[in-house]
Amino acid sequence: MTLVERIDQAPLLLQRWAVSFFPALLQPWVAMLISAAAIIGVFASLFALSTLAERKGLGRIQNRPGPNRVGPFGMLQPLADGIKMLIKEDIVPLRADKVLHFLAPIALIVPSLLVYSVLPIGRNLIAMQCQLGVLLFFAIGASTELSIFMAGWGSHNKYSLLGSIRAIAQMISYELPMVLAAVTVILATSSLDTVNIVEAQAGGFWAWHAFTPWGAIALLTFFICALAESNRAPFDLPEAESELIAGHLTEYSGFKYALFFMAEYLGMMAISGMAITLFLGGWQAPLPILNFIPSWMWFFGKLACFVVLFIWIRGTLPRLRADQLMNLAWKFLLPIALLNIGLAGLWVKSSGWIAWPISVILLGLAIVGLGRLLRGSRPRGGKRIYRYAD
Amino acid sequence: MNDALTLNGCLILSALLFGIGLVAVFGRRSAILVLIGIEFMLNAAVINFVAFWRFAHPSSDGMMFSIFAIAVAAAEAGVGLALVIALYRHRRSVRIDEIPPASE
Amino acid sequence: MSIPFLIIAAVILASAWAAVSLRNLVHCGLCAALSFLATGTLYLYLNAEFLGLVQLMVYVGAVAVLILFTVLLTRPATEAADAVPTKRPAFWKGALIAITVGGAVASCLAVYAAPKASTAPELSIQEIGRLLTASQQNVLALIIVALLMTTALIGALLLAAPAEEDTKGGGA
Repeated sequence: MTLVERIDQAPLLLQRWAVSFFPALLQPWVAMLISAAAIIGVFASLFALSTLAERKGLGRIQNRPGPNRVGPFGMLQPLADGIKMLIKEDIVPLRADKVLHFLAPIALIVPSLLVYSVLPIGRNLIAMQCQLGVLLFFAIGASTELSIFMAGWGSHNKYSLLGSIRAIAQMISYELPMVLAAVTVILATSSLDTVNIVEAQAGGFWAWHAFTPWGAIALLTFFICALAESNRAPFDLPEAESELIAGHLTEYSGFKYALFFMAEYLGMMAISGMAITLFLGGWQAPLPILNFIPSWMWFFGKLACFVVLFIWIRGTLPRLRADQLMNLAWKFLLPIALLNIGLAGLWVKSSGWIAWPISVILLGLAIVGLGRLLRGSRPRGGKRIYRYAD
Repeated sequence: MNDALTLNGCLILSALLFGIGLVAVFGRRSAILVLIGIEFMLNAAVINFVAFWRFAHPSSDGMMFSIFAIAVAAAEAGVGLALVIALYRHRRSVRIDEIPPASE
Repeated sequence: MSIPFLIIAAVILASAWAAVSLRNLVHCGLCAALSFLATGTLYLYLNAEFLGLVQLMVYVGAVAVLILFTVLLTRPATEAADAVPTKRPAFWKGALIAITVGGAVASCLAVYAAPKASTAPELSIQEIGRLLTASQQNVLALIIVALLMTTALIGALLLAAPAEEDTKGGGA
């Protein structure tokens, strides 16, 4: 094994070394525990880093310095935030449904961490290689909706309930085009195994799925849906602070609030990781010459790009209206995703340049046509009347 | 693990789950709970298919049937709940015993 | 019978019973979701991985959420935490009938001589896909189910959408 390979496989070798101290009977269990601990440790610290990056980045966009008091350049701000969250009083509303109020953050954080088990973060670096990896990811991700409902309903607060209803309606609507966008990749690689999907994109950036006509559109659809699924701006209607205070988070404080906050970032990073795995070559280097850089560094580098993109969009775009949100999902993204599946099938069957012009023409027509339709649509019930504003 | 016993266990489990579904259909008056009961009964049937596929007849027909059963059950739930909402809009209630007969 | 099976079965039955007997409809819906989740786990335990994940996605991700949505939409918000009255004698009468039926079937099955135990069948996702699209019957069934789903989607939309006169002028 050369040095480059050794560095590439360092996490795995470290795990094997640690496991070798235990008796053979316990070894599989210890290996599992180590994988779980590594996922929790790595992604929780990434969460801390990305909160700092977000506050700094938004500060720059809004022409202010952002946090700069704790540590050099405010670098220790996440630590201070964490300590503050831990020692804050945990307030439960008097008429809240105590059990649901307590269970909601737990039921949210568990699936958010569980989905990382099928993301390959490097060559051979995957916690659980599974034949049905992509399906597992979406199936577990679907169960987070229930915990948001539990939070909203358990708080016994109208704003919480309205926020959670908005969140669920939005997540259900955007899940459809997201899964359909992922289906194109499944169609092209004829596999649901995330490791196989990454290996199918080996060789260089031109082999990545994002550089095919259907892949580019699917990646775009997937990314818009990822924004909506993680309730981030411009789709942060559930937490629209000017209307709903903080949506389902209103009645949470202290560490429970921190768990919700963490789940939001974990969800965002998990969906970005899935987008990288499906469309951007996962841990593959963009050029074969660059293979000496360890595979996991490529994965985390791409992930960092995605996080920065999320922050950038949050600082740039205004929030959508509720009817615009639903129209975008059902009247634009869903038809495009369906057409895209057909084009992916054409690409697989024709396997050549002929699919390019057909795809470009059809997708262009669809996007322009549906876009015009979307612009023309008005909210139901005619002109809006602002009863209290005048 | 004793396979034969687990098959019997699955069948008993599905019979009991079916019974619980029947409780909701017979005993509760909320239309939503009746629908939940129907979902339980469908689940019980699918458990039977999977159990027989796993332990007795590994011919993949059981699996196909289960997949279609789940698909149909999802459609049924969607239409059923839409009916409940339409019913609520007209009657302001979802209680089964307050629905007039269709001939009225 | 193994210990994991007993645990899963106990969770399924207990949460299903809670779902049909609790007074608060939201609690009923959440218990039903737990029961669906446990059923999915049972499928995973029985080697039917694809079915287990489909169960998770369809039942926990969609049907349970739909049920909870309907619960919220079909009653005034101020009453959200209050109990829905149920006629208790009627409930117990229904329960008696149902338990008799379920118990009778279960006791028959308890003495049922299961066929010879076979080794666990393996059915990969590729094979499931091939089975769904290759054999004539399955393709027909697939198309019929697809049509049914589309019809159900449109039908549900028409049923649940408010009539025109409800929304006219109600934009505020």
